[in-house]
Parts: sequence; structure tokens; C-alpha cells
Amino acid sequence: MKIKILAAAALLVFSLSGCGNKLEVRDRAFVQSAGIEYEDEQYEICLKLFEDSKYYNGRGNTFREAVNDAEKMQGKDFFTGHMEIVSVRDEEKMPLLESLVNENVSSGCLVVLCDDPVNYISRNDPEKIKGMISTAERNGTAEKVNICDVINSE
Amino acid sequence: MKLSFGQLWAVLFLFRAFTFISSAADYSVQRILGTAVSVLIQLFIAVPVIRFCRKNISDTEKFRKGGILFALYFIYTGMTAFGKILDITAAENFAVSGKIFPVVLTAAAVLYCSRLGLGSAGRAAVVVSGIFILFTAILVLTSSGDIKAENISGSYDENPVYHYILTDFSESTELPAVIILSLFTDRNREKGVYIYFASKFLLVSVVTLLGAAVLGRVSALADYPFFELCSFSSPLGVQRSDALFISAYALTAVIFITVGIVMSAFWLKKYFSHAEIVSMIFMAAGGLVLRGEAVYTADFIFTAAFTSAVVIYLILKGKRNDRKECCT
Repeated sequence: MKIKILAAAALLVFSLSGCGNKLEVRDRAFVQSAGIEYEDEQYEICLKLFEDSKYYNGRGNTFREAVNDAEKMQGKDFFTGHMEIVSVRDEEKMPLLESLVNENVSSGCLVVLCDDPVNYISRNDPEKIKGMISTAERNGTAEKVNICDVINSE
Repeated sequence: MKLSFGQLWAVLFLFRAFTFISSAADYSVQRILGTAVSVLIQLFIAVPVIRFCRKNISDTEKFRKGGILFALYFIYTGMTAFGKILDITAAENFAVSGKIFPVVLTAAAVLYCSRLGLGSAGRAAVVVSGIFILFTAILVLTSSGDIKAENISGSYDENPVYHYILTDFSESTELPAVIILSLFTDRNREKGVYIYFASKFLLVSVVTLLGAAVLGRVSALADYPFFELCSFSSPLGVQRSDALFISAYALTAVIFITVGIVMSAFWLKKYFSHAEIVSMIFMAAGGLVLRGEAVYTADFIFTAAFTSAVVIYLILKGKRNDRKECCT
């Protein structure tokens, strides 16, 4: 009797767990950097993936909608949880970064402020950007900040 | 159906750990101060009642009759637990999503565990507490590099300290369980309760302080600050340790609800032969309806009402036993 209960429990565990709805790692695309602009009440974004030189653009009423729009250009689900760099305009930084807090973007993501974030990300390799940030920090010409630092600075 | 004082501590600690992880309250210095005051208040409520019961109520079998109150309390805690699971799996990046899967999976697991009794749940709670403490230590160690002292001022948090006294009291839905479960503890029940209150304060204050220092104002923006803090923890470079806490969260949820089912079934057995199944169905259905929207006013009313009812009932019961012994 106990074996039957154990077998039923094991069957339930496997059939009702997240495995039924799983997404293989190869079906996910991991976003490494994002450039975000907000114009005409729309988010315009440019995303770059880990180890991929291509960039993907999207538009939407929210960041998540813009990401879903960018996904249509290729066949994988975009995962922003490991994002390392986000670029925004200085005058838009607070509302945009605050909107990212509950969008599965780590608050430890580095922030780059520039006038044209979408083009900046599309033209620059994320590893190169990280290198530039580290060099500037060592030289004392810039400060390395993340989303959390920017939000707390206000 | 007995617990040792270590198992009593472990069960109560996991009750509070579950509600703490599920909390949407900000991390700030005000919260630590409010929690300290709230813990003292709860200590002054719980300990005298436990001592009174130790002297006047020796046999838990004798108060099965009035136990419908206790059964309702544990069913309500189970309902809110299911509701919180649904809210958090929807808000955070969990592998299971949707309304039914997390509830059915959890219900199946807790129903099986509840068949094994309170002792087994207590032993499992000791193991899960150890796992939880280990994961919390990893969180503290791996996030400590991101601490910024200037974030600790708490100036972003406009809530006064008394707000957090009420918040902690609302989240401490295990307060009636502190009193009830101590009745099922053989020896040193007060020792288990003292250690529980101390460890609860330590957990809340350490993680709150860390969260305030690392997240600062972001904790006020995040839906669930605990999971936001976990996203900062990167033990292996790009890795995030969210998965550790998702596992810990699932384990604490199972223990939380399992103990609820075992205890409510203890009193409902008088009315239903399959009391565990009945309890679990009420909890799961209630959770789907309530969705755990932690409206803290409702939680505060619930905690205050059930604590008062449990205390009054036990004091009256204890005095009645006293009178009976005098007459015989």
C-alpha cells in the first residue's frame, strides 16, 4: 500500500511540476545589454544577447511588451534576469529604472547614461562597454553605478 | 502526537520564515525597531499563557470538544499560505505558473506529509530550518559586497516605527500556533518558545538590515523585496541564487501547510473521518479565492482575533480544570 502511495506521489510530483511547462536553455536567449528610450508614451528598446553580435529592437507600452516585440525578430524567449548593462538618457533615468525593478531585471545591473541609448547599445559590444566602465572607474573619470545606486541617489 | 522543544522551535521558525519571505513590506531601520517592539509584545502575550497551560492543562485529548476554533485558525493560515504561493509564483520568475499547478502540486505534497503526523512534520521542520539558515547565510555572505552604509538611513521610508509594530504583528500569524503547539510539546516548551522569539527577531533584523543596506529605496519599489535581494546575490559570478530561495520557499510552504492540516485534522476528526483531506480542500479552495492579497489590516484583525480567542479559551479551560480538581 505504501509503495502505491509513494508511486502515486512520485507521479504527481513529475507530472504536476514545472517540468511540464519547461523551456529548454537552448530555447531561451539571455539578454546581456539593453538600451531603453521613452518617447510618445512608448518604450523603444535595443537588446543584445550574450555571445551574439546581432541586436534586436522592439517597441511597446511597457518594457515587457517591448521585449516581447523584440522577441518576434527571432525564435527564442528573451530572459532579462542576467542582464548586465542598461543604457538610458539622463533625463529619463528615474522613471525608466524604477519601472525595471519588478520586470525581472536585477537591481545590480550596471547603468550607462548617454544621449542615444538605443544606438549606443546597437553599436557597442557589451563586453567592450564593461571594459570601458572598469577602465574609467580605475582612472577616476567615471563612477560604476547600478540600478540600485541610481535609484538611491535621488 | 508530541513535539520536542527543538521541533517546536523549528516549526514556529519556519512559520515566520514563510510569512517573512512572502512579505511586501519595505526594508528599513524603522522595520527593525518595530519588529523588536512587536516581538516583546508577543513574548509578553505568549509566555504567561503557556506557563498557565503547563500548570492547568495536561491532556490535549480533553479539549478536542472546543477545538473547532483551533481548526478554523489553522485552516485560515493554510488558505493564506496557498494564496501567497499563487501571488508570488505569478509575480516572480518561477517555473510553475498559472493558478492551478502550484496549488495542486503543493496540496498533493502536503496531504501526503500530513498523513505521517505531527512528529514527522516536526522532524522535517528541523531539517528544513537548517537548510533555510544555510541559504540565508549564503545570501548574507554573497550580498554583503553590495552593502552601502548610506542606504541604511531609511530616509526613503516615511512609515513610522508603530506602522512596523503593526506590520510584524500582522505577519506573525503563527502567534496562536505558538500557544497551541506548546500544548503538544512534552518538555521545555518555554525554552523552545524563547529560542523561537529570539531567532525570529534575528532573522527579520539581519535580513532587513542587509536589504536596507543593499537595496535601499529599491526595497520600497519591489513587489517582494526578499526576492529582489536574492537577485543581488551572485555566489558564482553571473549566477543568481534565486533558485536556492525558491527551493527554500517551497519547503517552508510545505511544512507550514502540513502542520496546519495535521493540527486542524486533530480537531476535525470528531466531525469528518478524512479530516486531512477536508482541511486541505478548504485551504486550497480558500487560497484560490483569497489569492493572499496581504491586506495587512485583515491579517492584523485575524492575528489579534485568533490570539485573543485562543488565550481566552485556554484560560477558561484551565480554570475549569482547576475547579474540577478542587471538587474531586
